[in-house]
Amino acid sequence: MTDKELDALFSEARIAKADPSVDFMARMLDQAYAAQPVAVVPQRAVVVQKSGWRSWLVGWPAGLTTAALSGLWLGFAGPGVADVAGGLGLVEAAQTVEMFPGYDTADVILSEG
Amino acid sequence: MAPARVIAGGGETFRLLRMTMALDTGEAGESDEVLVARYAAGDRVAARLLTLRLVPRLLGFARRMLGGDGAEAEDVVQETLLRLWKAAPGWRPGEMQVRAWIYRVAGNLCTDRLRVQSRRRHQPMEAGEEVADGGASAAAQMLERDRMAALQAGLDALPERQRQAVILRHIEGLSNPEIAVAMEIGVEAVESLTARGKRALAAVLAGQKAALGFEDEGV
Repeated sequence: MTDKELDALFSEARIAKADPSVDFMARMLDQAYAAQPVAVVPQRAVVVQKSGWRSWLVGWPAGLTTAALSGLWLGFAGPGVADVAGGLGLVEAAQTVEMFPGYDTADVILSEG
Repeated sequence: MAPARVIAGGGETFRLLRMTMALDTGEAGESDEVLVARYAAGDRVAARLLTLRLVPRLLGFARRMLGGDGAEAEDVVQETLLRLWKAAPGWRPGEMQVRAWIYRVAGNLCTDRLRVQSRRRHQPMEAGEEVADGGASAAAQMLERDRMAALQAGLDALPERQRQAVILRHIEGLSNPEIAVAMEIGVEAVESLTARGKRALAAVLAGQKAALGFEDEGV
């Protein structure tokens, strides 16, 4: 047999690939998975944040409704209702907090100099 | 890419088809060494790609080394890949090619089995086992089977090291340096083994030229 004929045989053998059965391939894949080291995935902090347009979409009807209802209520009830509205938190009440009881604020500031 | 779990039962063929299609993606072009590193990092896609790439390759080699014995060849493939998976975390890039390494392991396992059996046997390949279904005529398929069976018989007749070198060089397509690594010998020894093996094979098959259809084809 010549080299050329032998090379033709080899060429046929290269083309005729081994065809593993599906069952065998499945077993081999299961073996690969079973032996595989587990991937280490770095933990990420879960941040729930709405994107800008979704936040706007959800936020504007709520704010608008509150403002409309507050205006309606104040207009309907008249000036005397301000105290009630403040009590309900609809109007922000002004409060004075005394930081240094018994001292005048100006005195405290000047004494630091 | 989500890993496709292969389980026993229906749908296996589809899953395997999906996995085979994955070979057509860019990932299929990655080297064995890159995929082994990815495997070691827990990448299940790499596990699938390596399995799909290496199993057919090793199975063909082991079958030819073991006289066409499919069951023995599957055992060799299974053991070879198990060793690869275990070695993967410690694999050092550039130290050895994966291809040469797996053929070394598989070759040694085949040698062990042949020694244990202490016999040479030839089992003709089963019908259709290694014949591509390309719509060829029945006569052409029979001729192809005859050729492959004759080649297997000729390979079986070779001394074991010559057979291994001839298969690796002329059928598996390894380079001489790769074969040298796989067989743990020098490149010159590889050249000598393959040359002697090829001459011996030609002599064994010389009397079957007509039966194998070479004279008819004028090859």
